[in-house]
Amino acid sequence: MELNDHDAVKECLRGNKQAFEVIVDRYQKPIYNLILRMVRDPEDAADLTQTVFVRAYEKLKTFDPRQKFFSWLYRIAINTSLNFVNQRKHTVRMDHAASYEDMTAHDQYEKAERAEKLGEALMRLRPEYRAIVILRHFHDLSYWEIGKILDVPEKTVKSRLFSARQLLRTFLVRLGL
Amino acid sequence: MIEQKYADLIQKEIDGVITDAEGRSLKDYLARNKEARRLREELQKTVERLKSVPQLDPPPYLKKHILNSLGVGQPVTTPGPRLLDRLAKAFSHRLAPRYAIVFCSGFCLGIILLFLVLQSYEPVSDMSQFTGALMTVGDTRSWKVIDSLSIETEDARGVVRSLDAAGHLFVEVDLRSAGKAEVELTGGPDYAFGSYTKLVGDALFIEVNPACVKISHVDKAHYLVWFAGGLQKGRELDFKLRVGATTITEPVQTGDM
Repeated sequence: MELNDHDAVKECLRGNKQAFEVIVDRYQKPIYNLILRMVRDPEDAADLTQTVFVRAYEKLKTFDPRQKFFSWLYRIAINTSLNFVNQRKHTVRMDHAASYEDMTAHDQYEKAERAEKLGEALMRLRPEYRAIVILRHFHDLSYWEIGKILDVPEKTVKSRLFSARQLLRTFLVRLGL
Repeated sequence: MIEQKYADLIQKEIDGVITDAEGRSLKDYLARNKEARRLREELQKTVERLKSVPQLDPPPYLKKHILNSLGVGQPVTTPGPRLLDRLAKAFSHRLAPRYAIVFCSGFCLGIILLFLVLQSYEPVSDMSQFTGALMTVGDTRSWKVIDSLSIETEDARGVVRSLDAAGHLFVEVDLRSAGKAEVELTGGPDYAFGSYTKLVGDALFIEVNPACVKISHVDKAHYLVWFAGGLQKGRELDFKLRVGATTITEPVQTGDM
């Protein structure tokens, strides 16, 4: 019988490090995809995913069992991604500016895959907006769950999601989708 | 112009959380507001596009890397009955004593073997013992030691060696520490650390970025780190070890690569 999240955490806290493997097995794919959508680069995403699990392991004692474990883990993942994105903000902005110019030159994106364009459009969103879109659409979380993870009121989630979707639509149209 | 109330309803509809009454109200509004219809259509298209993006599999090495970082390597099993319970159960059966003896002997043998393995831990002198990805870097037997730095303090001992591995620079960190130690390797602007392989030990965390390698909570560790590129002839690396209140900082030569 496989351990559930809370039992796996309890086992880890009792010193059974191997119980953490259950958590890694269960969440490495969603966490990797979450981070990949946030940072776009697969290597960075893999490195950050590793960092997230190590941080989670180190902070397991601070986990409140009244919470859902995945919300807690997603929160670490989002914060790690946001820190990373903010640290390289300068580079990202430059990349975006370059992409934008390229786009007006017409042919740069015509052969790109749809997913690639979506990734591009997502990266043009402010990281806080991007996080909400990713959690809502790629992880199917409710407004309430997203609010918990991002530590913002549900109302803020709704308003940001609305703005983010409209911006995303604009970017997609500009990218020819 | 779209009233905020109806913009919110459009969003609720898209997210599947609209009530029947709200749905009817929105339907009426859409029937008389072209701009709202267009917004709804555009948002629906956007959401459809997002739904079409597949979930990607993480790289196959990721799980292993995570577990290695935490010093976890064995598959997890749910906790079974306690040893005494098992023994009691074994002796309750007619043939059980024989099984119990075999079980106890196996258990003791395992403990002895584990003890011997831990005791026999020595720095790896034979490069052919390196396995995995490292084997792709030429013949490990041809690796040459460029510089060797001995660590001898009250709390820690070991060796740090720079190695010329068929033109690639590797650094071997081989340490045993009485207390929790931290190791830091800094390459300077001419180097970029690439990756690492843990050969022995249970260090809780290793962090590798292009500028620096940090190994925390070392009890007993044997790491091999390598550089992704940017090699310069003869530039030094900085090795720093912290154990308790003691900090050792030493340069490590990289020789003529």
